[in-house]
Amino acid sequence: MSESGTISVRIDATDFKKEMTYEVGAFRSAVEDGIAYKFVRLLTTEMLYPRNESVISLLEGRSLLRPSDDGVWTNRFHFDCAIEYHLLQAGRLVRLIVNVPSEVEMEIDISDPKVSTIVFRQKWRTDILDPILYEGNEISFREPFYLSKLTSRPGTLSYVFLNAEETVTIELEATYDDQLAIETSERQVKLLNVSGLGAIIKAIGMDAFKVEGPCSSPRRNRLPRPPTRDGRFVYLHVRLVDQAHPSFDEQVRLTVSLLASYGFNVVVASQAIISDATLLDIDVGRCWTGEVTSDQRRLFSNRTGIPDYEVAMYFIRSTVPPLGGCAAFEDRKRPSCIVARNSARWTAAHELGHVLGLFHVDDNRRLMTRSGTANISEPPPDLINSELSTIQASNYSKVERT
Amino acid sequence: MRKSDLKAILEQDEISYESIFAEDPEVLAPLVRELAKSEDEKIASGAAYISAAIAKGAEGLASELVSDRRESVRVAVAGGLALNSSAITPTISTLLEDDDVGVIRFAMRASARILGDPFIRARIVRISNDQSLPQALRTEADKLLSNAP
Repeated sequence: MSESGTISVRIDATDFKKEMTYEVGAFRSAVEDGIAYKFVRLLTTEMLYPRNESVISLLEGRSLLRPSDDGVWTNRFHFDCAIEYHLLQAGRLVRLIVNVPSEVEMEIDISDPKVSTIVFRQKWRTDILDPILYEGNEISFREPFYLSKLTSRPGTLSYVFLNAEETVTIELEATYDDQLAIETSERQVKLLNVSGLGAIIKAIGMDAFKVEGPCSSPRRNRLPRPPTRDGRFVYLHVRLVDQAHPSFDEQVRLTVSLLASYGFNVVVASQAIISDATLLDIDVGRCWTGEVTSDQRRLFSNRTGIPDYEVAMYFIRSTVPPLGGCAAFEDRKRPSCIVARNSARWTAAHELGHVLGLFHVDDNRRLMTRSGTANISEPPPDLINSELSTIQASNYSKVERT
Repeated sequence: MRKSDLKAILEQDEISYESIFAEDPEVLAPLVRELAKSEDEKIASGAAYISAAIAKGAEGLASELVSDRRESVRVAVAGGLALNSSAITPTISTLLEDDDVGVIRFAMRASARILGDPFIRARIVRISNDQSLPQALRTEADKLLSNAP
């Protein structure tokens, strides 16, 4: 029998846990207490350094499903193996093995077995540890991927993976085994189409996977990608005033990866904690360039060890008046910006954009959207050519550190 | 202005509150009353700031928000009260007793023009003398007292 239904994914990117929800209709309840199954998941990611490559990985693990009295099947799923990455780089297959402390919690909710609706919820961390590199490569992972969309129609699954560089869509045609509807390893899966920039893996050593479609095509509905600016550096110094700031690390990472995708190397040159409760909330006045309050002046005085023309980014609890961030600073040699706790995930990049000379725009696809980075419609947001030129001309981006 | 319009403004990274304050306070008041209770802390803080700052229509809301569990909302109330020209002494008085240093700091600033009130003044003096509070806060209290008429 073929399954039908929808598969949806919700990603909580704040702590890098992903929750996947599978809702599979017309599932014949073949899951039995204690059934062991093999879990194989196809993942795709890209690496930012030294150049973009696409990777397909396999996760393998084993699990036991155990029903509870209330019909909710819960399970802790442990991967006892590493992820293997296979990628085609410069015409040769390179294999990377990444140790992942993966632990997946799975919950299967069968409220009425006759209805046979199954909900899978899986959570796992996407931390990618330092890869063990083979064949002398020096590639390193800088970003986790974000599985942004997973949909299906009968017989076909569509995976959309997103990282700061590109969106990659993979469509798979699947024929399901009727006895082992959740045992994806048993399915015959054929790769139908791959779109997105960058080299896409052609083979990963499994006969079940075969590329038939084009390997590279521009992402639709995106602005044309401007050329990158290789060799420009922006040195960023992170100062954490609000130690409970929930997203500072993610925001910094997104800032780095977004600008890296345009050829700007944002180097997190230092990171330090400022323990001063009187700096948690900062009066930013009108937040106008060149006009700072005594609060901002006092905050920005915490700049020990930060060279001139390098950017200090202060993560605080709140501003008065309440803003997501503020990039007003007074001393042109000492560029600074503030990111509040209630900011969105792209706010740090947006504020850095202001520091680097960018202004607001009326386009929610772009980083500098006036409407708020919480409303960015197609992440990762875009920077256009003129903005890249502005950044390149900024006093705060340089060819190399002096 | 509708609620959705105000919410869209409060979602911005950098908000021009001056343009919001140009609106009729009696139109704003019911909107901020609702938005201040939002689970979205950014929206709630912005609405709390506006509600504390506008003189008409939002009476009572700021005094409710001083007990909000979120420090940033209480800080926003204190920040907004500094712009409010109406009677705010009870609300500031409550904020001055807050456990959070940031809330106290902005409440202190909002109290600058009501230091004639003996209770408020006494509280600022206590802050100035309280060794358990950060030195920067106590210094600010000292300056406030020395600049008072």
